[in-house]
Amino acid sequence: MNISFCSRYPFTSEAKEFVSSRKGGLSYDEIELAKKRVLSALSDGEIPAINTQYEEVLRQEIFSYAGARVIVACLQSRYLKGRYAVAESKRIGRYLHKEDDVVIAKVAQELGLTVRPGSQNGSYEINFIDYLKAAPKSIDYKLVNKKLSKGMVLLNRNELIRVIEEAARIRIETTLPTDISIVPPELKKAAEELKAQLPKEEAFGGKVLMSEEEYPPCVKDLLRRLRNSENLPHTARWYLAVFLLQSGMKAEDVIALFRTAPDFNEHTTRYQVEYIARKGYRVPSCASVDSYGLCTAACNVKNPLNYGKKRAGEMSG
Amino acid sequence: MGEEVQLPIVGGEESFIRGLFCAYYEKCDAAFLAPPLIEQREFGLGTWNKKIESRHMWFKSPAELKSYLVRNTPFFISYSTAYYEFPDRRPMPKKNWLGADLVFDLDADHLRRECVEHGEHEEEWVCEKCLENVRDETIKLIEEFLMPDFGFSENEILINFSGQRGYHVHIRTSEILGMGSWARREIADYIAGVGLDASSIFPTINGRMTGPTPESQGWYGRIARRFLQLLEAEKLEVIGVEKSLARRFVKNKEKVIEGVKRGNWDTVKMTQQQKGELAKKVIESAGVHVEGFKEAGSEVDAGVTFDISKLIRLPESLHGETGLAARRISGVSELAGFDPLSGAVVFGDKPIRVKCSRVPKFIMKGVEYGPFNSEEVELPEHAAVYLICKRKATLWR
Repeated sequence: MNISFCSRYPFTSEAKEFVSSRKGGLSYDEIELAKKRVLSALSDGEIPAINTQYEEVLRQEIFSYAGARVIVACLQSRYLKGRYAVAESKRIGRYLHKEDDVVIAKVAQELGLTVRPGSQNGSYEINFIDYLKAAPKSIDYKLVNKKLSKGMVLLNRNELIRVIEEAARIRIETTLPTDISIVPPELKKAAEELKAQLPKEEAFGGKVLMSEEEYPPCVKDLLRRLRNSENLPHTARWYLAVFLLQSGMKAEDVIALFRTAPDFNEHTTRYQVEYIARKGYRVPSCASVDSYGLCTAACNVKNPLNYGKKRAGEMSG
Repeated sequence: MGEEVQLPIVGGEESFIRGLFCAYYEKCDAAFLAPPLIEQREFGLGTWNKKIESRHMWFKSPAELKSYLVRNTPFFISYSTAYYEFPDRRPMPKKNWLGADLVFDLDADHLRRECVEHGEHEEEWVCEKCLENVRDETIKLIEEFLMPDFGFSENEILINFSGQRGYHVHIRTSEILGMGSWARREIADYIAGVGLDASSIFPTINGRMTGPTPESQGWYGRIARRFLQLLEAEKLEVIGVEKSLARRFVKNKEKVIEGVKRGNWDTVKMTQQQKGELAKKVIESAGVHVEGFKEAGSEVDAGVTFDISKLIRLPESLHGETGLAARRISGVSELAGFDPLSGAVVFGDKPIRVKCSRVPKFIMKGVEYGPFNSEEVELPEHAAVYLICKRKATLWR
């Protein structure tokens, strides 16, 4: 049993074994740590990494994860679950950057990804089927832009860690407890206390100032998904921001809309939205939107911005 | 005596063809017709006038399928590439999806057809050139993508003729069955070259144009190899490279080839725009045109996503618009020499009198027929069936 490994990667079978080997529930301190873990994940979008080898602290880390999962499940919000999983996966990513290849491969294996060293130094190979299970949904990670040979996708170290991070996010989010009726009362109480400390969920939602009627189906779909706190891929966010800015929405309101994203970070979003506004990116053509996998309907326009115009024309004509 | 009197048999075609189809299914072994795990597949059937008339059908065993085909003889039979717990339940979510084969649908219709553009025949007609093009495209899919890049072995790749003007490629290895729609779309995008980031392939297109070498992996090397292949064959203008630029490349062939082998794509003079165009054209021509994608990098069919509840022609069943069988093909070497108008013919040579409308020249089992223009002719059964199914002929007796 490697306590240090388990504390860094508490979702692994080794860590789970460690947790279940102890009799009795969580201590008061452990529950407090679990609450703190959830709170930082949900409010800051980050869970601080610890830098100690002191066993007692490592042990507490593992139990705080076990408690945090249950507390998040008790919050019964898809948005908060998603945001929590993003923060946990980012924490894992930060640790992975410091690991050697053996540990990286072991963590990947735990998540169902078989990784082997590539022919060049610092390169890795992963089966394309595994890759597609956890590839981030952005142009850089699109299979067509990756080197693929004999069924293996070639990745560099940073790319591999990003893929493992995404696999961890999916694993953590989809394996949160679902039956909260069996949750011990002290954890339920912790969840109630935490709820009081969190900003009201409605406060995360932005206000759409202009009529959504004129938005094309692809944009409406993205807004709907965003409001459902789905973790939208980078390209989708970029497209949405460009479209909204070009259709006249103020940067401030665009930023507000992204508050429902599970990994919302005001600083990053502001930087990106303002950057897009400054650059004055033009709305991509429908063909490009489709190639990003975002097209949802055959509206018969060449550019998404023309959708509203066409509809207006049809209505008046 | 009656030999001289020729009368049109109105509406007789449907029952004539059905009789022949029925006899074919009667002779087929049930196991030969059934797809693997038949009890988990949904079936769709078509009538003389409609390719898919009913869906959500379920056959528990090969024998049950065969008896249905013999008893009811539909003109089209398709089955789900997906496996379901309850194939006959509806709506779709009640079927409980268990997984799906990975299937590629290549159709002559998805490719550029010069014969149609040049008015050699109408769009619905399929000539040898159409069939050869889609066959070559299928070989390209297998030899340049599925085997080298995706690492599938030849015995994992199952090929069959579609029964009309294309080919289907099925992969059923256990690892791919659970893949979701998004992952399948990524594979299709890869094969068609959709979403390729040209700026990472030609990173310095704005200055001295550097790019991939023939040895580069994945799409990178494919683009270099495709370019060199076209250059060696002096066919760059075929893919839409400006004539004057194509000539310049050919004139400096040696130098250009040497350059690309080292990743230097800037050996002849090109404007910024020409560099961009060249990159785009080579990328487009190196992809495979699978169903749903018209052109790499652009013009993607709107609204088409990778359908994981698709119905596809049942191999070895007959196609109601041709009378040809959706023949299984053992591998690339058989495919390379496969001519559907011989290899997928199942009917015999008994003479049948038909009245043809306008029919271009065609070759079946090595024999040339036509062109016909509103005339009565006697054709061997297989050729008569072909024209009747294509609604190009009616029975005359």
